[in-house]
Parts: sequence; C-alpha cells; structure tokens
Amino acid sequence: MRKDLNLDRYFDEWKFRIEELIRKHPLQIISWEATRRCNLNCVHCGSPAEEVSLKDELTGEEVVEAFRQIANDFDMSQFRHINITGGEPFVRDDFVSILEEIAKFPFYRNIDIQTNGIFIADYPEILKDLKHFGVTGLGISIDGLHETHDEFRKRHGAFAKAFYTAKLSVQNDYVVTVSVVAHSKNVDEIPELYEIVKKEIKPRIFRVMTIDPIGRAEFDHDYMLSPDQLRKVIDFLNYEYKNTCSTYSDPKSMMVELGCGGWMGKEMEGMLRPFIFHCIAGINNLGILFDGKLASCSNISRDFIEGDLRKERIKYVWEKRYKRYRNFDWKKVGECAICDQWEFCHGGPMHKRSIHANKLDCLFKVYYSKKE
Amino acid sequence: METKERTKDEMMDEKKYHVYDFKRRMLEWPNPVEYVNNMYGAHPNVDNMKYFLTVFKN
Repeated sequence: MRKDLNLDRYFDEWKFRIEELIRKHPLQIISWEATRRCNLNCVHCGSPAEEVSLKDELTGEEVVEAFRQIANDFDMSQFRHINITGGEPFVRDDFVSILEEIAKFPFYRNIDIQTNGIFIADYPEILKDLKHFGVTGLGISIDGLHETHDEFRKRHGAFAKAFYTAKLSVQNDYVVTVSVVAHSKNVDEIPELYEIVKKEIKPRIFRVMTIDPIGRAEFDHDYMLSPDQLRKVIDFLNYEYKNTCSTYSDPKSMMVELGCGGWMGKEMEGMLRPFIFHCIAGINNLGILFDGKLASCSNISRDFIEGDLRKERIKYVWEKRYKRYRNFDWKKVGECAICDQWEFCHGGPMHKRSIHANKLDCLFKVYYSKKE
Repeated sequence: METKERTKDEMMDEKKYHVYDFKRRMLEWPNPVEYVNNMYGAHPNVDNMKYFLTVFKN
C-alpha cells in the first residue's frame, strides 16, 4: 500500500506546461463584463458602478460584432467557454437577444453567467430560453445565512431569491456553482451554509472566495478576514475536500472549491479544490469590459487595460500587448522577490495587483504565518 | 481494540493515498489549467466528464 508521496517531479512537469501555455496563449475563455449596472448595491462588490462612466457601455450590436470579430480572427480550435459577469448581466434589456445572436456562432456553445439570482427568481421561465442560447452554467452568489446575506446585499429578500434561483437552476439541469465570499461577518456561518446548500440546493460546486480589499470593499475594512479567520476557511475547505473528493467523478456530487484567491503551496494545492491553481488572466482568458476595453477578469484593476475594441482589432491587442499578463518579472518585488513559491505562482492572481506591483494579502503567506 | 485501531489507521492511509493520487493526476493532465478554465459556472456537464472521470477515478 505504501506509495511515494513526493510529487515534486509532477509539479516540475506541470510548471513546464504552464510556461508553454503562457508562450502560446491560446484563446480559450472570453470573460465578458456585460454591464456595470446592478439591481443590488453590495458592500463587497469588486466591479462597482461608481468607478466608471455607465454611458460608455457597449451597445448590443457592438457586443455581437466583437464576438463575430473574434470568431473570424482567432484560432478557435481550443476555445472553451464564455464567462459573463457584471454588474448584474440581467439588467441589460437586450441581454437575452445578445445571447441569441452570439449562439449563432458554433464556438459559443458553453456559456456561464454570474448572477445574484434576483432576476431569474422573478422571471424563472427565462431558464428555458437560456438553454437555447448556449448557456450551460450559472454561478449564483450566496454570502451567508439568511440575515447575513441580506445585510451584505443590502436587500431584504435577496437570500430567498438567490436560494430559489440556485435550486431551480439545478432542477433545470444547469451546472450550478454556489459562490460565497468569505468575510469576517459570515466566516462562522460557512459550515452551516455548506450543509444547507448541499442538502437543499445540491449544486455541482460550493465555491468560497476570500474577500479582497478591492472595489467597494476597499473602503470597508470591517469585512476583512483576520489570519485566524482565513486559516479557518482554508482548513474547512481542506477537510471537506478530503472527505468528499472520492465522489467527484459523479456529476451529481457537490465539489468544494477555493476560488482564485491565489496559490496555496505544493502541499495544499490539489487539496482545496479539484485542480492546481494558476491565474489565467491574459494567458488564455480574454476580458471584454463593459465599455469595450480589453483586459481579463472584471475584478482586475482597470490600470491593466490593454486595448479598446472600439479603436483596435482584438486579435492585434491580444498578440501584441498583454505583456504584463505573461511576463511576470514586474511582480517580483517585496515578499515575492524572495519567495520560494515564485516559480509556481508567478506572483499570484492579477486581481490582487496594483499598477505599482503592490500585492494584496498572499493566501499562502497568511496561512503559514505564525498563529495569533 | 488493537485490531480496530489498526483498521482505522489503514482506512486513514487509504484515504490519504486517494487524495494524493487525485492530485498527481491533476498535475499530469495535459492542459495545466484544465479546470481553472472551468471555474465560475462553466464546470463540465454530464456530456463532458473526462477530466473528473480520469482524475477522480477510485
């Protein structure tokens, strides 16, 4: 039974394949920030409306033309999926008609939408329509038990609607992720929420992101996790992962997943989520922001915008720019400059970086820091 | 009592090795960000289970 548990050789090979991927940067994902408008006003929003000029939002025609341009210009042989975020995508009146147009292209058949669940709860019949337009996944945010979620969302009844939408989406055979942002006021509720979600919603994924001081949360430090609270979240996910991972080949099982907060070290990677983490922003993940600016995930600072589809060909920007997303030397400052994890994490996820290379909390460093 | 304890240890060992096997298979998967690609809501559905059937095979 005794096996060699040293995986160093496998990590080295994995690292080599990451470097290959960076060099080739095939387009595999489009993250489209459909809008910055929202029907909620959450305390933690990473993409708040007040940061931008909403009148600059792309029209439906511009969005469809962007997807057409990509289909024409890029090698789509390795393309995987479209991830739609906001704001709240469903506040766009033309949202479904845009999906209908995009779905006419054969590559765009695997679409997921991040939503707060309010719109779908009010208009559940839309779940039938979305199926026809290539939507396969729905990510629904539930940020705590009933009262905590409603307080966080600043809307009475938001929990009930998110819960109903998640349940209904599972029943309609979507691949559902229930996403939780772990913060100081819900951290103790996460195990109970996990049990309730597992029992009553039965999604494919229970995903936990740790809160970052970006967007609106930058100005409310009451919600930040202490090192002990962060360790509590990580240890919970590690415990549940080890207990449940042998069921993950069953599509009806619920997986746990630590979100893209960062690399956790060779020991913990592969034991907190069903994959080894590396930030994919700008490597295989192209972001179209609400106003046509080209970057990657919508929670990355707008200082890292690489181009503008209203002025330039997307393919040109993807090939000629994105240097900051693919050559990481500029991030090798501060604790990263002397960190022995650098060759695996390359300075961590882009949404944690400022233009001056400063980095927000490193999960790995905090987790292994001296306990209080 | 001794026998029971040993069995529990063996079960713990087996579980630990399963977890390591899954991790090794994740590291061996040709696309190193196979699953990161599927974060958010776009995890593979029942028609596209190859990664899960391979990595989490007991």
